[in-house]
Amino acid sequence: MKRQNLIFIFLFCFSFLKSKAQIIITGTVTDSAGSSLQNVTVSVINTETKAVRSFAITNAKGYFEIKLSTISKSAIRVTSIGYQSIEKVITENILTYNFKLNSGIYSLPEVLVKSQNLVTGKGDTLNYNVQQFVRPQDRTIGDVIKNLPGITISTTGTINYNGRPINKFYIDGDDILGDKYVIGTNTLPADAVTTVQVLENHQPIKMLENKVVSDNAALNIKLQNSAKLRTFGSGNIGSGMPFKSADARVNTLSFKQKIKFINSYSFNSIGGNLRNEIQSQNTSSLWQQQSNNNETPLLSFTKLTDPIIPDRYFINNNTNLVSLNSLLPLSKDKSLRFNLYWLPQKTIYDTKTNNTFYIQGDTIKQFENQISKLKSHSLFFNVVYLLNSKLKYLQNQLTIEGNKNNGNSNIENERNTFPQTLENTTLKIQNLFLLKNTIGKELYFELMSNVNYFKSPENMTIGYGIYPWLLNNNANYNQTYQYATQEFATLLTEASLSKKVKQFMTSIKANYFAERNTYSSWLNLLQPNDEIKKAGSLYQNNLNWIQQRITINPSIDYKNKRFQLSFSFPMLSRNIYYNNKSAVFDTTISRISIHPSLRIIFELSNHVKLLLTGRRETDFTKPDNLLTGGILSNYRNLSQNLQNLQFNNINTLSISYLYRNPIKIKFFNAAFVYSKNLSPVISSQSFNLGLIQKNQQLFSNITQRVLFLANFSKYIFPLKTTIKAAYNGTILNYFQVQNNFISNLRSVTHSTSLTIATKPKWYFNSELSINFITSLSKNLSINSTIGNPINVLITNFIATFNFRENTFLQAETSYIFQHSSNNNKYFLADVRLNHTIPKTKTDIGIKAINIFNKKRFIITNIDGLQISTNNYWLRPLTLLLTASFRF
Amino acid sequence: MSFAHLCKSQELAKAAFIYTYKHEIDTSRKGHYYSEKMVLLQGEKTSIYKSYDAYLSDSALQEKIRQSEAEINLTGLKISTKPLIRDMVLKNFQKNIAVQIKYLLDYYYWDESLHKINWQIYPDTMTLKGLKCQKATCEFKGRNYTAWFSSEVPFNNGPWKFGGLPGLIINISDNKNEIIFEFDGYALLSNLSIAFPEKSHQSSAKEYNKARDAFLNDPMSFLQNSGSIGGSVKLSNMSGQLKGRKPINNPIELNDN
Repeated sequence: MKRQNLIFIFLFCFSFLKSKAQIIITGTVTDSAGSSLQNVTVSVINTETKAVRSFAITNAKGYFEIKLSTISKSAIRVTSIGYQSIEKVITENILTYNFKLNSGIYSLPEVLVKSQNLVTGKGDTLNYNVQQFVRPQDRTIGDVIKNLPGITISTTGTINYNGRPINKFYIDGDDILGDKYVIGTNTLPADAVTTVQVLENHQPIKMLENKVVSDNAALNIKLQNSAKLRTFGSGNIGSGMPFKSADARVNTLSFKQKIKFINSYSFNSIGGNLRNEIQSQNTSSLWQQQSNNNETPLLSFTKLTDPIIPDRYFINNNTNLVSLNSLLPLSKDKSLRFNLYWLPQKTIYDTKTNNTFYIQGDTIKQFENQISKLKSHSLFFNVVYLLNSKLKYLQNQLTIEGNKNNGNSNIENERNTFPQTLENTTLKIQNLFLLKNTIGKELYFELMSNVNYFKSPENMTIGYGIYPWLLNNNANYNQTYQYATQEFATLLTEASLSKKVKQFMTSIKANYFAERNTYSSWLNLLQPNDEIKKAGSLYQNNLNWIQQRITINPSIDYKNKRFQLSFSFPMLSRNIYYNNKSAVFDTTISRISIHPSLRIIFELSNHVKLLLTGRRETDFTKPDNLLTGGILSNYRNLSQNLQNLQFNNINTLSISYLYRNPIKIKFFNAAFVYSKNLSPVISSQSFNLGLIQKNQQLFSNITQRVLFLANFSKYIFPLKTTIKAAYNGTILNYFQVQNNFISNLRSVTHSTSLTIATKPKWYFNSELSINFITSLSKNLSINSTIGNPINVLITNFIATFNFRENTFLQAETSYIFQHSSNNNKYFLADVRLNHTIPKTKTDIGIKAINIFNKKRFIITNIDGLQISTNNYWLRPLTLLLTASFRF
Repeated sequence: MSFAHLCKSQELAKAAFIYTYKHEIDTSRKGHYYSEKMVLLQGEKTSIYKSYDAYLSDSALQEKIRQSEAEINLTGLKISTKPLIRDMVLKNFQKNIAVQIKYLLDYYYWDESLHKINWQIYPDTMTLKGLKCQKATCEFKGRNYTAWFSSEVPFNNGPWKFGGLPGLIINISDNKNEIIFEFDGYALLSNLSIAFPEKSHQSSAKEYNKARDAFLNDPMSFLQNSGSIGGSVKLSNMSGQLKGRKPINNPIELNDN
């Protein structure tokens, strides 16, 4: 065998020598402008095996020389970074090859990209490499975040990680914006960011790290070092047709060591929802919400829910927003934060609606055409002092918030055509104080206080004498004035002591809560003789509400590597006193209740978590449900309540399964939530000549809700594609009383969505989302479905094509199809052309919104026994010239 | 080649390639390798090859300094205590030079010509890390090396002083398996610049080797003679006073060719 091999090698060498009549191939490599290119690899490859036969590297003159023994089945290949590679087959008698390379973007081979760190996980921190996800058209970090696998942004701007909202939004470790973080995602330039980090099980309080269980995730935006050295900014401006269509914005940002700020001014009259930017996104910090749940206006216009199309198509606005946010680090652990927002806004609503109520024995039809002009001013100021060290946590937050709204509207309904006005102002002052301290090594002390003051006067005018048969002894009159004022003062103080024993954290909290709310309302009627007459004590309220509550809450947290448990057993003693001067009643109620809650997290593996929660609470009807005097909350609805305070029980059970695998960039979560609410009262509606009268009736009212949620997200390497799929199913079983008929209703909603975002080539990327919603309402009492099931398909497709390195064309289309009694089909589209001026970060472009110039959008909704067909104004074809710049 | 020029022409890395470097330092202990992760930061005109572990521990240190970042739980952070390779190779493809940067209390550097390696290419192919690779061999600094390069990654570069093949060198080892460079993968370390160490002094290979040997031979007297610990050391001032001896049993460079 060996000898045979030797002979073979000999023969091989011999043949090699024999054929070694050397061929020399020469040539030059230049760029498209003709300048010689140095250090370019020129290889001669075997056209069949693609193996390199011989090669050379160009010298300073771009010259190369390759010696070859054979040129059969050979090709010459030129590759260089930053240029498109060229391959030419070598032909017998040509020995000189000159190449001109066109510039191109170099992309690494797929297998390498696969191994690169798109997403890395280390312990509880997940890092998304922003530069890998950014697309040529992305300008802000929000543009990038919404395409990260495992993360979604809701239409209002809330960021969800693996199906749950984040609890903190940090920029380079600093909490500059608090829970109003949308301004951050909309202003931070994507190229100033290196990494988006998800901090799982995030405990924002340093001294409780590794001690108190937290199943929340926080987001941290890590900045480029260069972004921390100087103040920088960005801006954009767009203006065009129709007249006064404009959009402008200037942002200045700084993340220097001594001061950090995000300041922004924006103007929008093309459907941009700037209010989202200053809206609180955080739903998880319960102690901040404690006193907010009553602060809802008593009076309103009849406003339709927003349609399921992007804001820019249906919002008819004129909005200014000034947002100033700064953080002054006072020392390593101390900081002072200021936030100031001012938002003046004008909005016009032009809607039409047809409502049909399928009540037993009767079908009631109503319609309304409304054109409303609303003006609002919102001012928000917030100052936060924070000390967050390993031993001590102190936070004091003072917030002042004011809103002034007024609106004029013209209504045409099945009975009349009339104007109406609405005015309300709100003032809110809140001071939150939180101190956490360690005593010795294992004892934690916490003191919290929340003082809150809220006042809101409201008034509404209906431009004719409405419902005279009810309000004015059947005598006609000219105008209706409804007034209402709410004023609340609340105080919450809490002290808690915790002790850590091995892996247990036991704590006992004691809190004292006191609130005093006053509600007053009356109805005035303008008589034909220009006299203003009160509608009588039936339509008057003067309610005083005083609640004192003491809670003792023992709790225990246990944490080891694979298992976390948190159990609390709050015992509440409530003392409630309320009286109504108009209706003459005085009531005192004392009640003790317990609100046990349990949360267990199993870490089944590095990637899998199972979360179980259970909670039982006793709550009571909100104090505004004790307003026995009638309030015309809008021209259509009159509410009158019982004077009895009713307690209800809420039981909630949830199971969640969370999976994340950063290496495979795969996320999955599923949750099952069951809740049962038992209440001794039910809200009943009766229909009478265009009026809907609402009152409370005693009835053993059980509401059951089953919710199933699932989200899946995966990045597919070879396709450079992020896939997100979500399913959301709800079954709601409840009772409704209409015209004294009790109906047991079941509404079933399924919502399935799929989003595919792909960037297969540097010059092309696209995003397709498909959402399919079906809703069905069933009257279980008579075992029949109400109307037809409503099926809506919403598809949205955005394609961006960079036909040059600096220029892209983007088309966005939405297709909405509703299969119902009348099939509604909508095709809405936008086009945008953008050019980046080379070597600058300045963009110029044109944008066309609603290119098919669709005028109205009609959709049918179902809610219990009510089927409504809503018709909305759409922004006409809008053409804008746009420019954006950086400084 | 002036250092000032290099500083000016600092460019950002287009890609970062991670290698595991294994070196059998002591031939009497066969199979015992010193091992460290290295990174090759590749730009358009320049590249730098240096320790990845040192880069990571540096950045970990930076994180520790920035403790005000509330989100980083530092308890889990480990800072490597093993001695790390601080030598670097900076290549300038325009100037055709490979700057050797060596560390001995301070950084010293001198120029060598770029990729002066006589490669033999073979038709043998192998798939490594999913990349189609081709074989090449060379003799370099007294060792015979076998390299596997991939023309799918069009950088004519490689770890350490290696390069000049029509594609990135994926794996390279000498025929005694005493020196091994293995490709680990691609890391996107965005916005890293290919930078010269801040304080560095021009020197020569001869001068440096003399001083290094003196240092390894008798570190204490070296430090005393240099006047300060950690301060700037002028090699030429002391090389005359110090006697040289080769303390490393099996250096990577066996001769100067």
